[in-house]
Amino acid sequence: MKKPQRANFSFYLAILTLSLIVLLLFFLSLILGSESISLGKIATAFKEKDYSSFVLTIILKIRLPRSILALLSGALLAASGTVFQGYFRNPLADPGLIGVSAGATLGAVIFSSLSLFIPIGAFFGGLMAASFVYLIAGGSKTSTDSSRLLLSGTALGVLFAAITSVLLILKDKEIYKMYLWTQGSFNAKGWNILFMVLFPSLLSFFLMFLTTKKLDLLSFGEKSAETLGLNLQGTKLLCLTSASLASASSVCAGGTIGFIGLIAPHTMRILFGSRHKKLLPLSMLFGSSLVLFSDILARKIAPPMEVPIGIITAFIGVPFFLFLLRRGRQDG
Amino acid sequence: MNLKNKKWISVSIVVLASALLCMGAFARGKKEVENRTLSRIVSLSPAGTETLFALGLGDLLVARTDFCNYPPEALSVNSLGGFDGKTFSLESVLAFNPDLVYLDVTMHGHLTDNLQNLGIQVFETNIASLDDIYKEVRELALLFDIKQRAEELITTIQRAYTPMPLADMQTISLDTENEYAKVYWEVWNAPYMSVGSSSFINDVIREAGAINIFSDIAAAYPVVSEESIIARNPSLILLPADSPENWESLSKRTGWQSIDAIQNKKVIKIDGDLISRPGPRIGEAIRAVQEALQ
Repeated sequence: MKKPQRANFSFYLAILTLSLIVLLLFFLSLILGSESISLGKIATAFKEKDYSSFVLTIILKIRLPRSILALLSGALLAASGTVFQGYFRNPLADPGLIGVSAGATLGAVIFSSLSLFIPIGAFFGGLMAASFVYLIAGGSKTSTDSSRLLLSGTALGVLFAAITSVLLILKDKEIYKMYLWTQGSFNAKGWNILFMVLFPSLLSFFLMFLTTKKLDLLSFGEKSAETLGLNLQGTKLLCLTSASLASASSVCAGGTIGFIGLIAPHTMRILFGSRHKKLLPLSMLFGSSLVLFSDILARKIAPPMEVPIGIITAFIGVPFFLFLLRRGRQDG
Repeated sequence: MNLKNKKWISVSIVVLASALLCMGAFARGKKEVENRTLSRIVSLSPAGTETLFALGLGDLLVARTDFCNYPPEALSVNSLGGFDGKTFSLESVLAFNPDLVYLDVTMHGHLTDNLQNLGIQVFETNIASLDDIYKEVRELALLFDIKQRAEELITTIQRAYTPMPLADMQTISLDTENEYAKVYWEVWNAPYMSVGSSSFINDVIREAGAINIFSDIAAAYPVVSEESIIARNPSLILLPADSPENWESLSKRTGWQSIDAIQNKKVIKIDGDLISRPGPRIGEAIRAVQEALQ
């Protein structure tokens, strides 16, 4: 009886620690930003309750929605990465791999050139891409081959990127704006974006939590999982829909931010194993921490300029990940 | 020698050979261009087209871009496409048989070597300040031996606006109020992009007698933080005329209501062609900013 208890204990300890880290980073995200405002000034501003003062304006109207979006985005990316990696049984699966990011970018570019609201274009572009992949590669009842899905996703992703490039060349004024958008940023993202993505995000979290047991079964291989009673078609639909919804929502919130969907679940898997019921919440917390931390850096590196967050996630994520891979290899 | 050593040696030879080839390609150097009378000019820059006409060289222009729309005489010159160097063919440039190509180094710099190797002279424009505009007008005039016309053009530009005391950026803090009006020029709003000190628009604002709130950033078109816009509290916000935004849409932005420019309804649009072209009409752009400041 001892082993399960100890395993559970370390899991709950990890959840607690990560939650505290997320809270700390969230708090830091509120008090740190491009404008250096001392803690004393913040405390005074809250005491005086002058809501028109620029300190409270910046903290409550700019930094607060932005921090929530960063936290949410990190969780969405990590969760969708977890589900994609679990479903494809491929530790390199990333929300971008299935073509969702490329589709979202295409949607964003189309909406931008028509002067429509870009995040909505991104959201529907991402969903459209996921539907295409599912229709083309996974439509028939007999076909559940996950590598076929992955390949189609990659191929379609390349096609969407090519179409995007053509559009950008034809409308060359859009090029620079879209280049920045594809680097990812929470700049100028406020309450309206948050309200837009809140429902789809929460729905996707709910659906992804439903996939956990199925993903565990799937890890034994499709044939074995089927003999154990898993409905392959239903699982595919659930996994891909929920993860694509999460991925599209995160692109809508912050543009295309790479590496989180790859690194967060993978790191947690190396440290805590592959049981998805544990892996999912751990990845989400870790993903939120990474994105919150990156967003703070994005604002603090060269104020008042903001560095695109995708660049920062690459710089901190990749070495961290390589370090963990090496450690994993030495132990195993 | 065993197989492993052989592999390393062949790899090293390939790498070394590639490196030498690459160095050879770069070391070719620029072909010397003989000094001769220039009579056929292709302009790949709207500002350049305006400058050429203003210097009286419009007759020599054989091709322009779609964006070269001023002066009206420019429209009767053949166009070879959009502004971005990647969207028109080098062949189209060559089809006009130019002996001088006027191009913007940031947009079409990659064409320079090709053109020079074909014996075509290239005038590269790279403007980061108002002084750069004057310097290039003089350099262009030197090529055609029309020094007098250059000086006349520069005087015309400087006469277009009221000379004002210029802010000393070393001593002024952008966070506080001071005797210079603070201006925010919004290039784009998703994400927020403005101009920094290496953009000539920064100089336009300074010459008009005001300060660009992001003049402490060295980059030309930096992405800026929304909270900095609010904290630096500009008294005037300028938008390009083709922007879909206006005072109303800006006043709806969360947190912007406390900005002076929003409270005083000082959100003014300026003709993009005037202010974003570092050419002969830049003086009029400065005057437009001064009028906006009233």
